[in-house]
Amino acid sequence: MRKYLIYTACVLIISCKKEIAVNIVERPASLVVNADLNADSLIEIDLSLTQNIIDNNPEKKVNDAVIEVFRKDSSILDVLSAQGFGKYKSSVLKPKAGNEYLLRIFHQNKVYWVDEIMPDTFDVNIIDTSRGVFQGKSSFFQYRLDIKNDFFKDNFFSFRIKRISQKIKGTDTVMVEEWCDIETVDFILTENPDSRFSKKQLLFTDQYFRGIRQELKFGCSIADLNNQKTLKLILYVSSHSKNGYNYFTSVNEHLFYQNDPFSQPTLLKGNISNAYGAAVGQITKLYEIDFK
Amino acid sequence: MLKSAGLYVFFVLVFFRANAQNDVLNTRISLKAKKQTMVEILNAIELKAGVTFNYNSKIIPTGLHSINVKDEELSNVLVQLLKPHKLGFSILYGKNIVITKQAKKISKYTISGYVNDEISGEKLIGVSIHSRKGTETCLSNQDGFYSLTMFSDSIQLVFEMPGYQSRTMGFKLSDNLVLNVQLKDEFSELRYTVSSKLDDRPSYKPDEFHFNGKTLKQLPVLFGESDVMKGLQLLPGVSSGNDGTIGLNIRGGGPDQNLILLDDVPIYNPSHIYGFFSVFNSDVVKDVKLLKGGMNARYNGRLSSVVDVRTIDGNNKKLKLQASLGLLSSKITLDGPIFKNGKTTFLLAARRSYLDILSNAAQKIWTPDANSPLRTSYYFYDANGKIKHSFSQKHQLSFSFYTGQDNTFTKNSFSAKDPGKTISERDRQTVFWGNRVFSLRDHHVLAPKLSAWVNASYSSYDFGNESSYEYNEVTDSSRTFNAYNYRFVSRINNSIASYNLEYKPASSLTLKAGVGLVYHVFQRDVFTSDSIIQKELVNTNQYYAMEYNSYLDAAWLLRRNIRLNAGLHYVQYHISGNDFNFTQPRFSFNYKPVKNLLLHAAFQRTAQFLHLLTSNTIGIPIDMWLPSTNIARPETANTYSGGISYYKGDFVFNAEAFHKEMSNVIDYKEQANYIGTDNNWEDKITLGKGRAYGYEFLAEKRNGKTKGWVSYTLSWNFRQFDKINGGKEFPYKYDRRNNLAVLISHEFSKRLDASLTWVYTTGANYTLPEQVYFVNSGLQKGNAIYIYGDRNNYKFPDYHRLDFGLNFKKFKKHYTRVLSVGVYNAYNRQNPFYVNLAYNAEGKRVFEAVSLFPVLPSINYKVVF
Repeated sequence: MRKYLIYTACVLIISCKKEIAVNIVERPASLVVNADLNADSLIEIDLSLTQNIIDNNPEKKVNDAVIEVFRKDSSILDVLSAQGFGKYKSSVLKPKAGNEYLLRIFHQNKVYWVDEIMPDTFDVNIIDTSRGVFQGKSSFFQYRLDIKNDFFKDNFFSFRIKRISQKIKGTDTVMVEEWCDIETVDFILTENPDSRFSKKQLLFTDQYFRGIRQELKFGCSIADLNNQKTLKLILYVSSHSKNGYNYFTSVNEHLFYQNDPFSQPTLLKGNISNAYGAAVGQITKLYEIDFK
Repeated sequence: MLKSAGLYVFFVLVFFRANAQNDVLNTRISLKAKKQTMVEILNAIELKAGVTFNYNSKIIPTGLHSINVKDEELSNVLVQLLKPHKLGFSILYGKNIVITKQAKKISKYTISGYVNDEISGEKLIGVSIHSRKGTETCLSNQDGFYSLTMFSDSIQLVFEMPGYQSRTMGFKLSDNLVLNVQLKDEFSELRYTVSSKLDDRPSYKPDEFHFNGKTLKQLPVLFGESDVMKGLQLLPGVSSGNDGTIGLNIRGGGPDQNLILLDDVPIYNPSHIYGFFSVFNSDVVKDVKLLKGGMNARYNGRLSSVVDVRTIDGNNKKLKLQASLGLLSSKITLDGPIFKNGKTTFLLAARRSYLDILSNAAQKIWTPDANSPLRTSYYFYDANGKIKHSFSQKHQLSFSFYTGQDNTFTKNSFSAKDPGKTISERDRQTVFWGNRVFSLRDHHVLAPKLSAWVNASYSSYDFGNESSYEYNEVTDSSRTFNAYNYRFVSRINNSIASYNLEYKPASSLTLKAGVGLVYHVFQRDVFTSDSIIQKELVNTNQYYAMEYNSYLDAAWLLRRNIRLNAGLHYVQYHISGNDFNFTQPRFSFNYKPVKNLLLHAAFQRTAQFLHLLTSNTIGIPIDMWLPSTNIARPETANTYSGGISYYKGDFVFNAEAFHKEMSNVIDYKEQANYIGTDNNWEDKITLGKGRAYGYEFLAEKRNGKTKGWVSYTLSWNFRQFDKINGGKEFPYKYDRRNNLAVLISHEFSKRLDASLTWVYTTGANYTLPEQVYFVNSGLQKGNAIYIYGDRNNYKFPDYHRLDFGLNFKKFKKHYTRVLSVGVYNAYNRQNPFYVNLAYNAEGKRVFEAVSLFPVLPSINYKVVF
C-alpha cells in the first residue's frame, strides 16, 4: 500500500525537465556599455559585446574603442584610456553632482552618445540603529534614518546593505561579502511599485516627502546561520539620476521575471541609443556598523 | 443606429413575407369561367390570387371546363377544380404552387409533442423528425419539444437520433395532433455521429457538432471520465492549449472567446486539476452542441463559438443510482421521480478528487521529520442538482444548480523547543477558483406551433489566493505573537433573465425570437489583517455593467434542396456611463445540387464584453477576467466560412475554409505584467487586431462496430498591436499550423469496447531570448541580461499524444458494472508545458523543456443500478 501511494503521488505530481535544442537565429553583436558614474570618483566604463544566447564562450570585451567626455558646452574634458579587459578609465575626471556630461564612444566606425545629468547632493542622517524583532523574525537589525533633498526636482534613491561575515569551513575561516535582503513596512518604501522587484536594492522616489525631512525605517536579518557570523553591515544610501533609476528598476524587474515562464519579457531602459547597457550617475553615502 | 433599424425592418419584412406565403392558400377569390380550357382557368386564378402555378402540361386535362366561385378560399377553389381530375397541389415555395397527379385531400395539420428516452423518460434534444418523403422536417429543441406542420392527412413520420433506434410511425390525420414519442436505446448497434445529421434534406450544418449522452460515452474513459471538452478538442477547427489546459481555441480565437453554457448559464473556467477534467460530469450530461460558424442569433457574448451543454432532467420512471470509484476521483449520481406519477423528477450528482489525501500520505512517508513538514496538495469537488416538475404535457418548470471549487495549497510549519523558549511558526498559501450556477427555467407550449421559455439564472466565478502566517514565541518571561493574513479575490457575478419564443408557422419555417438582460458585476478585493481569523477589506475594484439583448432568427427551407438560416442579434452594453451598441447579423446557406453533395456558406458577426488577460505563455487559472470599458473596448469579430460535404453510406467527408477578423483583442503592454490588485489595470493593457484563416477537413464513419473520425486543420493565426512588437504582426500563441486528431472506437461485444485517440499539433509559439550580455557594475554585477527578439518568435516541439481506454461491462439482473482501464499519453511523449533558459550541470546556458504529464494509467469501477 505504501509503495502504491508513493508511486501514485510521484506520477501525478512530478513534472519532467529535458534539455532541448533550439535553433536560435544568429544576430549581429551589439555594443554593451556598463558605467556607474559616481560623484567624486574617477570615471570608469566597461565595454563588451552581446552574444548569442546559447554561446557559452566568455564574454567578449571591447578594447579598441575611443571614449571622449564632454561638458554640456561641447568642450572636451578627457579621453579615457583603455585599461584592457574592456575597461576604460579617466586619470583626472571626477563627475560633480548636478553637472551634465556627454560621452562619445567610437567603435567599429559607429558613434554612440550618452547624455547624463548627475543627481544632486542630499542630506541623510542615521537617527538610530538597533536590533529587534521584525514580522516574527528575531536577530533583525533595524535602521532609522532621515533623508532630505531638493524641493524643486524629482529625486530618486536606493538603499543597499552589504553584510560581511565570517564563515567557518572545517578548520578554515573565510570572509563572505553578500548583499542582504532588506525588509520594511515603511509605506514610502513599499508603496513604490518599482521597489518590489529587488529586496537587495530598495528603490524609491521622493514623491511623498519632496523637500521635507523624512524618517525611514528598514533593516535586514543578521541571524547567524550555517556557522556564519556577521561582522559588519555596510549601508549604501544612493541618489540616482532619473536615467539611473529607470535603468536599475528595469534591470531588477528583468531579473525578477527572468526565470518566470508565465511573465512578459522585460526590456531594459538604458540611456545609449543603438547600444545596450547604461552609463548613469549616482551619489552614494556609506555607513558601517561593526559587530565585532 | 439607422443601419441596425434598417436591418430590423428587413427581418420584420422577411417574417411577414414568410407568413404570407403560408397563407396563400387562404386567399379568397371570386371567379366565373364557362367552357374554358384548364390552362385558361389557371391563368385567371394566377391573376386574381397573385400566385404562380407550376405543372407538367401532360397532366393537365384537355377539354373545356367551367367554374363559378364567389369569395372562396384558394385551397377550396383548387380542390373543386383539380380533384375531379385526380390532381393535387402543394406550395413549392413562396407563392409558387405545384400541381401534381396526387389526388389527395389538401389539409393542413400540426403534429407536436415531446420526444423522450423510453427507459428514463428523459426529454431528448436534437431528435430528427421528418416525413418519409423528407418534405417536412424538424429537430426537437432544447426542451425535447417538436412541432411539424403537414399538408397531408396520411403520413409516415420518422424519429431518428444517434444512440437510439429510429422509429417510424404512420397514421391518418383528421385534426392537429399531440404526439409524445419514446425512443429506445440502441445499445448493440450504436449509431454514432458527431457531425449534425446529413441525409436527403439540406439541414446539415458543417459548423455544428453534437454529442449526446450516448455518443459521449464512446470517447476513451480516462480517470473515470469521458470528458466533454477533451472530445470537442478532437474536432476540426478546434485546438487545445497544452497539457494542463482544457480551453478550446476555435478558428483562431482564444480560450475566452467560447460561450460555454451549462443549462443556458455561462461557465467561465471549465477545468479541474489544471485541465485533467472539465467541470462537466459525464454522468449528468445529456447533450453537448458546439457551434463555430453561422451560429443561431440567440447566442451572444463571445467571438468564436458556443458550447451548449444540457444536463439530464432525472429519470421519471424509477430511481437510478450510479457510483464510480477511480484513482483520482470518485463520483455518485442519483436521479429519479419524486412522486409515483413521475411528474416531478430530481437529479443529484457529486464528485471529489482525493489527490490531497494521496499526496499527504506520500509526503508523510517521504518527509517524516515533523519539524519541516512542507505540504503541497490539491483537490477539487463539484455538485450538480436539478428538480423538474411537469404541470401538464405543455408546461414544465425546472431548477438546476452547479457548484464546484478547486483548491491548491502549500503549507509549512515549524516548531522548536529550547530550554526556557518555545517557538512555533506556520504559513499557508492557497490558490482557489470555482464556478457557481443557479438556473430557473419555465417551458410552456402556448399552441401547437408556438412554444415559449423563460429563464432566470445567476452565475458566479471566482479566482483568488490567500496567504497567512503565524509566529508564536513563548519564553519564561514574555510572549511574542505575530500574524498576518492576505486574501485576494477576483470575481464575476452575472444575473440573467430572458424570454424566448419559438414559432413554426409551417414545416419549412421556424422563427425564434427573444429578449433578455444580463447584469454583470466584476469585482477584485484585497483583504488583509494582523489576525488569521478576521480580515479587513483594504482595496476593492468594482465594475457594474448591464447588457440588453434581443434577437430574431429564421430557419427557412426555401426549396427541397435549399436551406437558409438568417438572424439578427442586437445588444446594448452599458458600463460606467458608456453605451456600446452592436447589431450582429448571422447567416448560413445550404444548397444540395445533387444527391450526396452539399455546398454551404456562413457568416457571423459577434461581440464580446469581457476580456481574458492571459500571461504570455500558457492559460492557467491566474488569468484575469476583465470587463469591457471605454478604454478596453468590446471585442468584435467577423467570421466567414464555406465548404463542401459529401456522404456515402456510413461515411461523411467535409471540407471547409474559414476566415476570421477580430478587433479590440487585448494583451499586456510591453513591460507590463500580472495585474493582480492594480486599480490602474487599463494602463497596462493594449488593444489590437487579430486575423485567422484556414482549412478544415473531417472524415467520419458513423455506423458499425468500428466507428470514429479523422479531423485535420491547416490554419494561420496572427495578432497585431501598435504597442507590442514594434507594431509588427506576430503569430498568436495558439497559432497551430497543423492539427490532426484521430478517434477510433470498436465494440468487440456487448461486454467489451475500446477506444483510442491520437492527436498531433504543431508546437505552440513562445518568445525566447536570442542574445545575452552581462551587467559589469553595481549590485547586479555578473547577472545575465537577455535580449528578446520578435514576439512569439519560436515554436515548442510538436505536440502529440496517444490515449486509449477499454470498458469491460457486466450486466446483472439489477445492476450493470463497468470496469474502465485507460492510459493517458500511452507512449510517454514529453510534450513541453513551457520552455525555460537554465544553466546545466556544466554551467552552460541551455533551453530546458518542462513537461507535465508522463504516461498515466487509470482504472475506474462503476456500478449503475
